[in-house]
Amino acid sequence: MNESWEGFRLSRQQEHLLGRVAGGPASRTVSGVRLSGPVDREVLERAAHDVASVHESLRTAYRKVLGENSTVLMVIEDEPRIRVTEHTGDGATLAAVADELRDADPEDRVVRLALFGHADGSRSLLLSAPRLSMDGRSVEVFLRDLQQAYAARQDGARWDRDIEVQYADYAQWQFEEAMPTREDKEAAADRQTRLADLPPRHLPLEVRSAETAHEALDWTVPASLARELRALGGAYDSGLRGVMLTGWLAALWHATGRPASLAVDATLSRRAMGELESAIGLFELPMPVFADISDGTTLADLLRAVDQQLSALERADEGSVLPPRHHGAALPGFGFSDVADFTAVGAPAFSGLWIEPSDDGRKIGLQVRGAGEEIRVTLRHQANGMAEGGAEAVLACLRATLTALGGDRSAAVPELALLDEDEARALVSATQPARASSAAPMHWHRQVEGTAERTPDAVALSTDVRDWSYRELDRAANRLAHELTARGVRAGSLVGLCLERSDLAVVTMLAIAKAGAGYVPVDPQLPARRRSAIATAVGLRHVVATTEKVPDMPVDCEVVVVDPDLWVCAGRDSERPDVETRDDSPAYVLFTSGSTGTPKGVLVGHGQLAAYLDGAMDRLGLTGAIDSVALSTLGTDLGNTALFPPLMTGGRLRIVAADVSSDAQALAELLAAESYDLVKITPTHLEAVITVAEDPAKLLPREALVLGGEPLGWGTYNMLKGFLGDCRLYNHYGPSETTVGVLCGQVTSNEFAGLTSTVPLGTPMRHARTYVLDPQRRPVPVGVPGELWIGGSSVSQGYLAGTAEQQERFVEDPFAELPGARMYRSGDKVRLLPDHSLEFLGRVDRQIKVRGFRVELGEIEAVMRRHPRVTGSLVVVTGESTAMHLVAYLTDAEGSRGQAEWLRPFLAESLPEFMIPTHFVALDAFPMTGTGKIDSSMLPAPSSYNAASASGVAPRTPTEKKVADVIAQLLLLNDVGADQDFFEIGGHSLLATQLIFRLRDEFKVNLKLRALFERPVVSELAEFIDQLLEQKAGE
Amino acid sequence: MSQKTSPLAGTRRTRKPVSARAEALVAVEPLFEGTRMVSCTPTVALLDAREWLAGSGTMLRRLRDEHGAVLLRGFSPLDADGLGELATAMSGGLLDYNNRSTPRTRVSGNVFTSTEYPADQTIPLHNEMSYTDAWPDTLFFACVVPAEEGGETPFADSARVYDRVPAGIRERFERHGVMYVRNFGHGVDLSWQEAFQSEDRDEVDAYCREHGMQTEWLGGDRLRTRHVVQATTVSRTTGRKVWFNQAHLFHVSSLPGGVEKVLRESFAEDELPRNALYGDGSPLDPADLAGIRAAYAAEEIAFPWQSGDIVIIDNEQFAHGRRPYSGTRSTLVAMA
Repeated sequence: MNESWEGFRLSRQQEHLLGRVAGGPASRTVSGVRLSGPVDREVLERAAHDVASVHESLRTAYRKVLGENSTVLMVIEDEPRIRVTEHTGDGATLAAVADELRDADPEDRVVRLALFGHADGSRSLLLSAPRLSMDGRSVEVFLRDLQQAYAARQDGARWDRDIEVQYADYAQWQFEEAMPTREDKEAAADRQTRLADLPPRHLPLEVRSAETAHEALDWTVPASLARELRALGGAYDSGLRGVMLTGWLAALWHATGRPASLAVDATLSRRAMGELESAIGLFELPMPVFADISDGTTLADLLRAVDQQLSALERADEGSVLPPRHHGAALPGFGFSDVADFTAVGAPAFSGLWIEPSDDGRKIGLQVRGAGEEIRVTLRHQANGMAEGGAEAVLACLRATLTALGGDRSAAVPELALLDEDEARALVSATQPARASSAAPMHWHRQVEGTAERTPDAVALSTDVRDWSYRELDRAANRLAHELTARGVRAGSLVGLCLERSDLAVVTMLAIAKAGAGYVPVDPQLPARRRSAIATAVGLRHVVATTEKVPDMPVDCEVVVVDPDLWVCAGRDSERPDVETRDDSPAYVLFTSGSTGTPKGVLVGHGQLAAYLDGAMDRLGLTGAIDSVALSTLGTDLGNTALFPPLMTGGRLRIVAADVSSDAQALAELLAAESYDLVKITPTHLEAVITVAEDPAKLLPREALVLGGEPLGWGTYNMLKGFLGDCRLYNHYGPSETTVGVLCGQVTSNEFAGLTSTVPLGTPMRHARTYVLDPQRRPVPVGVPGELWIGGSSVSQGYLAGTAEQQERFVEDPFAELPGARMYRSGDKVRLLPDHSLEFLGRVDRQIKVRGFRVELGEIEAVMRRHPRVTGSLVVVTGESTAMHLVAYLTDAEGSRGQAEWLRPFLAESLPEFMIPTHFVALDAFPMTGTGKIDSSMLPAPSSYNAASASGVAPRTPTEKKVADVIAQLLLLNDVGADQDFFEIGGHSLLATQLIFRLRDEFKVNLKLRALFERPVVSELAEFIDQLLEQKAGE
Repeated sequence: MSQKTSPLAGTRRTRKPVSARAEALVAVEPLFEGTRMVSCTPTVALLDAREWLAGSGTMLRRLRDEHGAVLLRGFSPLDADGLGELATAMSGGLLDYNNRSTPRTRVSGNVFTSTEYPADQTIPLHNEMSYTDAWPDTLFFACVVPAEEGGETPFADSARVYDRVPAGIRERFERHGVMYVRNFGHGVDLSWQEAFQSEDRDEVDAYCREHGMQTEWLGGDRLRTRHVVQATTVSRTTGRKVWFNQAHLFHVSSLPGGVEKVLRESFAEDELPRNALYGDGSPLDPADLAGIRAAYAAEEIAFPWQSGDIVIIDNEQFAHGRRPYSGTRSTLVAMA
């Protein structure tokens, strides 16, 4: 340890490499060339000896000055150490030889050469030297010198040449005269900051992996394109390298979901000083090259920007090229070499130089290798760092951007097509359902009629109080249909359905269909204004209700009053009315949230509904009579999956009243008491029910549990899988505009849990076609985010007249096999997974799902602004999915600040309960970002304002304190008073379940949900819990 | 690709190899003109202070003994474990920080975060644990994150402080020694449990007896201790006399004006949470304290911390303190 020796200080490049590459001094550069002409091993060895005599770097050993952590010094030895070996074999042997050369003994500074004889008689020469001594360009210098030396030795002469600057001199110069200035250090710090601020990067199908091995994907640029790219490079200072780096940046931009900016760690050669051109050593080093790409950025713009950065970095003063300490290794890499073939008189010719990329620790890197006319690229990526197809997607993007660079460079980068027409067609056809629906399926009411003929006495509907046989159902509906017709309802009319979910409602739906009309749910629970807005939009002339007075209906709208015995049509004929429905006859109109502040109506025809139901039963594998349960509102189509199939197949439909389905405890008991084939429910609702259930397995249906309406988290799946048993679990997706659902997949494992943030949505059902498209409506590769467009036979007729979105959302389907087919733009961001199922990634706009309902935040904001005091409005979502809250921020014309509860009643007049924010906060002004956008990260938490809302009665007992704390946590409140009512300070039924769950956990008592409804005030609830605790203690 | 004049061009350089002897791998220079304190800077990148200590034999110990204080700057940064290893390697075991005077958080083994004292206040220069009869030989300070502003750790050569304290004051202090009185359990300062890291009164009594302290248990959970110890000592390494007490810190006048006022109004002289008296129990003359503080002020040397800096001081030769700061500051301390 204390022996005395001397060495030379490392260069900054060497220090950087030591600090970054695992293996440090042991890391070696491995390269190879094809040989032509005879080679004499002995002559080669002597020639290599001569070359190493000339270049000190080839005689340099690296010794650690102290222990393991301290740096090394260069020790230059006098005698070259060269080892030449000979091998023959196939590709595998060649790879093994390369491995052996790479993994040479760490302390070994020997320059290794391997002569390799291929099976076809040709030969290769492999070269390996410490990376600290030899960068990519050094390999070229070495090979040229080796040829010269070989030719000289052939003539029996020792080869020599004068070297202007040995590497140790360069390192010393760098230390003495080219230290970074203060400005250089500041610029480096700025670069570091810029890197830290880059948006997170997600490669296609990226997965976390600890794998250290790499895999590679090769592509040879077609000759004509290679010519174009080379010609283009000729016009730029950075040459072909700048062109290829531009292509790489543009490809990564597309492949990683169009980030605002990105960077690539490009290897600079740093040989601008003439003396260094023929030196051997480590001069190259990686530096980030940045790209900011926006809508208007053309390829030419990007190329110019890249060229400028690269040229500036290559020419910059030595002291200013300081690679970033952090984040650099996390960037995609880029290496480049472009070498013509080596020929020299009297020596073998070398061709096809390859150099193993040095970016081993990276997730992904691109190595470009020019040789003569040819350009080859190698995409190296961490093994298992992307799921199957991810690397291929990156390469597809690169092919597209390079092809575009060889063409019209005035094209905007964001508008480049990532797949050519053949690839696009192949991908579209590969991702559609294997077999489409056969014949056009029968409309639902015709199927119910058929069932009524086949099994008239079977139970069709059941409620708490009565059962309906198919005969009863069919006849009642016939009579009501005649009544409606008599009142003026015609084929193609729309009839309001102002009924709670009940057996009567189902009879009425069937009657409306039989009368040739479509039903329009006008939920009695809706606020009056919203109901009237719907009625006006549709121009309702008839509404079916249980009472004479239906407020807020247009004056000329006739009310058909129904009671459980259907007295209104008791005298009508029970034979089927003679009305035919066509595929485009309206089946129903549903209203969904509209971003402009007005709900919009989606018109679904019988053909579309039938197509969906056929596709659903096919995908869910349901045959024979299906028993199911209706527990969702009729106001959305979520429940349609389970509502129609029983009646069409002769099964039994259990109707669950709204007050039961919204009470998790009651619903849990109901589901446990009876058993069904099919249940459709949102994940949040299911979790609420399972949380309170005594034996969750009992709640599950016999055949198919279908989750939909909102993203399904892996956590929910993991919770469910334990008691699924024989029940199949499906994730189901689809907007109302394409009729209930278009994607569905059985979830059988969590193998994608590392890849996707939510459970995949499955593949298109047999009635549907789905396309993942870029903004120009061209398909994007597997793994690349795009917007979901939906075609097929369930695409609805669109929005009711007067909705401006029609033209933008429903367009001709260019991928369809049938002429005239349309497709719908979903607004959902998705990507294709390796198995061609789709993953939901979010919205392209501000639509969210609250308890399965679609909510446009813009609609709430628009309604807020209708209040005369509100001058500005913003609604944001806080909290995780099961405890999600809407928080409304506003500016008040009267200048109030803080809590703004006064707005709540105003919203309640026109918005349904699920669209009313939990908290209202008035601000002086909205916080802005530098670019003038609202900075939502700077919005105050509602809890900082709602202190005033807390009552004066502080919790008095420890139990009250704990209960109040749990509620405050759940509702994002600062304080909760002892006299406050959970439901009056933002609690709702699903949060109630959460609360019960948390209180049970806190107090270890068997608290029932009903207790909360009976005692919603903190002090009452706490008293009750104390009683339970006493009982428990007494037992 | 012909280049204009290259910065590398021209004369062949004189080769300057670097010796790999540990002594040669660092440049040792006086930290400032006129102080004995030195700085050690590696001449190569990536030098680990622990490895350098191991490789350099007695060099670092010699520098500490000869110069009293050594700044290591430009070595690979050390974390708490690393600092602990350095300190252990330098001088055997690390001292536990017992009989605590100020709150510190333990980070790793016997490495502490530097005194967690309000950021806006100054900690006057002092020798660690000079208010008792056993003190650490060596202190290690490591800067993890320097403060945005201020936060320097000033040092002062205790022999020079000794020389600077007026002879009359020196004489009074050396004749009597210094009595440190602490009253625990008033809720103002540390509790006795925290100060002695014990819940057991007998244990505390035993500890105090062993260290020559008197204990007086008062009503409630209150404890008063009295301890008469040295005012100066002789450095074991240089043989020089050094100023070595904390009278100026313990005396109630060292507290900010408002605090002193409140304490004096709330407590009788012998009830003050902590106080210092002449060894015979008579109150300190404010003029004497002013003279001592002036001596320290004249000898104070300070420099801004840089992330990764390590300072090693001989606790008898050099006093240390802390200046106020703003922003985040993270400093580690080890004692041996």
